[in-house]
Amino acid sequence: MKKLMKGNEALAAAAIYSGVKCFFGYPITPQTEIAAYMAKHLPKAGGVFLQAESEISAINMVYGAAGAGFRAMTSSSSPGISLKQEGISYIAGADLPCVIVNVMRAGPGLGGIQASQSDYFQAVKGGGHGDYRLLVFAPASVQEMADMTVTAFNLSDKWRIPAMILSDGVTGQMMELVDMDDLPEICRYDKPWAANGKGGRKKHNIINTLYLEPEELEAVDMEREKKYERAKAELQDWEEYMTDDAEIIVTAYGISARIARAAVNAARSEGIRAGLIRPKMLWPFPEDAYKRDVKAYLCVEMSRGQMVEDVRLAAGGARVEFYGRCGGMLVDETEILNRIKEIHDEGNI
Amino acid sequence: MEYRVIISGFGGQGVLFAGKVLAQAAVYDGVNVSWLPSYDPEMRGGTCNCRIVVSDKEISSPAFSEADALIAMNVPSAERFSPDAASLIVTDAAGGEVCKDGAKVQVVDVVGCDTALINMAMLGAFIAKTGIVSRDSVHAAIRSVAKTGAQEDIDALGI
Repeated sequence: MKKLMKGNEALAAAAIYSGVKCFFGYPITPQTEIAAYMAKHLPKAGGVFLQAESEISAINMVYGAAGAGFRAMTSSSSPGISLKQEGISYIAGADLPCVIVNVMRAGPGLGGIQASQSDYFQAVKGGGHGDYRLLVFAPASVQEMADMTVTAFNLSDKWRIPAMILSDGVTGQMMELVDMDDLPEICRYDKPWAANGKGGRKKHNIINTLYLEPEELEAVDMEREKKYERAKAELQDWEEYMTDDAEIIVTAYGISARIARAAVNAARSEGIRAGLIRPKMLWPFPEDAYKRDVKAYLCVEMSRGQMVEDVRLAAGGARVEFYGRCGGMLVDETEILNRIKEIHDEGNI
Repeated sequence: MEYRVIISGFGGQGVLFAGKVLAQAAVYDGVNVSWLPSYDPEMRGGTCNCRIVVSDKEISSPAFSEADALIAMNVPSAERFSPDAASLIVTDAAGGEVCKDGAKVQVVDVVGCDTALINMAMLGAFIAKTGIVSRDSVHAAIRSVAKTGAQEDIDALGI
């Protein structure tokens, strides 16, 4: 049955459905409902909720729990996610699965508490040190906050790549109808690598990220790179709206894509052939979506232009324009429509 | 059809509650709905608003700037949001005075009204005017959303 839920609460409920056993958090607006929901419901579901003394502590608890083979999770918002970067790098370096949620607010620094999308670079380019990637999901509705959390746990376990849900203050705080009885299936994978005692094995497993011999570390990095290449080929995920005959394609993720969709509808009603490409995963970036004949792309973000760089790389020389707001301001439907019209008129499309 | 409403007032007036009631009523009517709160640092005494979209189709943007209607429970809200409301502004007499386009304004007489129930009086007037949700659904929604005092809220609706 569909019911009204906040994005943050739907995400937390979906994590419990996914069988998360350990949640380690620390309060920060606008993600605190996730921790609050976990505090109330996870112990009843047989899991551990722990409010750590800091974000750094929380991510290292995730490192430990994930290393022991448990489904483990943490959530925070932008400044808190910056604090977690060292731990995220270690988790990626140890090839451990986990889910990290970033309900983005505006930065840099403490910034503000309103919704933003300015942590794209940090999420998809590696905010911590070293050659590593995260599986990055970009929910655009309360239903996707739930669905993508289940998928994030599944794919993170399957690929042994840490997953990040890159949400924002609006998607976390808003209520929409969500069907919690129709979530994706839970996929379970054996974890023979887990450091959970010998368990009948001759030797115990060790979780490690330190390789002092450069030849050995290079080999480990190269092996991981092969996995990333396979992920790029297999996991690209995006949604298209009215793109079949589109001459101007707006591209945006998360809440910006919802607002952009309304602008695309308005442009269509004025006779402009506009469409929308919405990446559902940001890493791997859906490069294949941008291999098409189109007059121009308009990338819309709540940042000063981050995803637009990946759009330019993927679009292979096609015209790419940018419109963005920052500081916690939402992108505006009318302003997007005006940009579409400007591009349309300039190009005599 | 997509209908967009902004509800705004002081924190503590039940702005978010009124929005949740409207959203839940829309759910009972079987249509799609989104509810987006402001989450500014101020709470009691500060400004507060929420945006609701009711639609028979998939909702495009829950974070709209131009609304069909505004329910303004204080003067600052009427001043700030009345230019964004295309067709209807439900407010009190003082709020009505600061709205530029008087033709859109529906004044609710809140003199003598319990301040804790002004939100329901205005929501009731809004629903009576627009019929955006059914009377039965809004009554059921109040019973579902209110922790206490549901009957007082229902009585204050006036519908």
